[in-house]
Amino acid sequence: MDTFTETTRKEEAPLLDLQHVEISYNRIPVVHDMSLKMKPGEILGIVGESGSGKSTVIKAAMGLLGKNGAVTRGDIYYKGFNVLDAKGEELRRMRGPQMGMIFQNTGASLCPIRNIEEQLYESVLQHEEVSRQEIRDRALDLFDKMKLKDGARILKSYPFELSGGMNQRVGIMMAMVLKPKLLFADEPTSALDVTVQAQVVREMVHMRELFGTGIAIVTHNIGVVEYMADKVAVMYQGNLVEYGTVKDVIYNPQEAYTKKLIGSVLRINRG
Amino acid sequence: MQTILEVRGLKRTFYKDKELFTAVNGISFEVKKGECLGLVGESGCGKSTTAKMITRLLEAEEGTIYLNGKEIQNLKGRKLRGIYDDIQMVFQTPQDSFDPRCKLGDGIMESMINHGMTRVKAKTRMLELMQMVELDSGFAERYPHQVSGGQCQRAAIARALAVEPSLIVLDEATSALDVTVQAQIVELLKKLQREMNLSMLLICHDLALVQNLCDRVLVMYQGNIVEEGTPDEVIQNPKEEYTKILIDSVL
Repeated sequence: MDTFTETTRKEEAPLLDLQHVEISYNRIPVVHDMSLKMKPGEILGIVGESGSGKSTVIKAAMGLLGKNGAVTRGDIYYKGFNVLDAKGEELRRMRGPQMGMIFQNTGASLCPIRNIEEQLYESVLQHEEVSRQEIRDRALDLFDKMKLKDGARILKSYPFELSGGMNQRVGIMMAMVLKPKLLFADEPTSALDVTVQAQVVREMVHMRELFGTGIAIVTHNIGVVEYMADKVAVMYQGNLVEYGTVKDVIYNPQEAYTKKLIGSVLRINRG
Repeated sequence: MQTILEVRGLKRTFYKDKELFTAVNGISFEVKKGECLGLVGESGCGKSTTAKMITRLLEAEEGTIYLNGKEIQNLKGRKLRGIYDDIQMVFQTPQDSFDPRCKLGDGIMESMINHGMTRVKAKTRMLELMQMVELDSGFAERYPHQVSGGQCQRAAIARALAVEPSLIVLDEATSALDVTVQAQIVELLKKLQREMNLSMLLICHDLALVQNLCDRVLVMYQGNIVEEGTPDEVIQNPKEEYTKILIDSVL
């Protein structure tokens, strides 16, 4: 059987390749015939309104659709390896070191009764045999790169002791500490203040510069996509209506829905 | 121009981890007739606390609030309820501010019936209001969970307008909505302001929205008003460090 470790050598394969993907919940298709490709180190923004299927697509790639959801047509390849064939142990080994994920509310996705440090050790030790000291050093180094001064205090904190913005940075740190090649981010800044949002977005771009991580970010904030993405995919009612470079799609939209979406974005006039 | 709302030296403190924390530190401002005033700032700066004190959902510790020239901060009982003829609120998540077991139409009619209007009259008025906020009359028969966020927010605006208030306070009223829906709600608010000469206090953290909708804006930071002016003045020529950061954060 084709396992992931053998196919990692296919260097020329796209980082992520969706081919005519249809995703259904309870046998009802919610995403139809979706195809897109990501190059290593590329940032892809997936935009669209609530219920358009944006999050479903990245959940499918991560194998997080749950009991009721399934990819009913097409294939999803990560570096030439069909992730839909991955099961159990194989999938577990991929999630983390290969494909990482940041959720909208990291604070809620962490265990409330254990501090950040313990949860960090647990997650890293699932994938690598390293000393706790080394994990700690790597985490502090990442906090340092995000220009957070009191990393040691953050590690000792419980999720509820940290602000929303701080928890999101913890989410980025915990995903990046395994140095994934591909990072999925589902509305990572939507619950944050604008000032904090701007910082988190800059930090994510910085992570790409440092580690060459490809990022697929789901958001409804066109400003975020415009700032950080190379390519943008616009979804509407489960269909990919427009897909291309940020320049083409945002500054020269072709489809009626994209025009409406871009037209709805309120712009600040700085004079 | 007539002053609808005047706030003088409003202050409120809370206990946070057993330490006294000043949420709103003696702020003063006014809202004129037909004006849309924006109140911006980051989470925890005291915007929503201010809104709650103005609408008497939270007691102010110091300061005075004048609504149409009358002092309202010490009113109780029936007299307190009376202020809601003049001031109404629209919240961030409309689904949460409607009774889940009540149809939207009944939710909108409730305040009018409480004001002594007959059911028949209230129903006619409710249908007019639904039309004003561009909702199909069929939505009156739906429950909050059966409609989208944008439709529910329109119903919440209709409900706020039912008693013909002189001021509506919108606390992050468009923040939870999709951009396309937000654009529609913004157009609706502009239309209502034009047609009804409505005064609005718009609380949000989106400077682009403020620039689009407001006549004047206050920037709040750590419980104080740090800057005030027309949105163009403030955005194009910010004076305070915090305001500059806020503007630079708009991507």
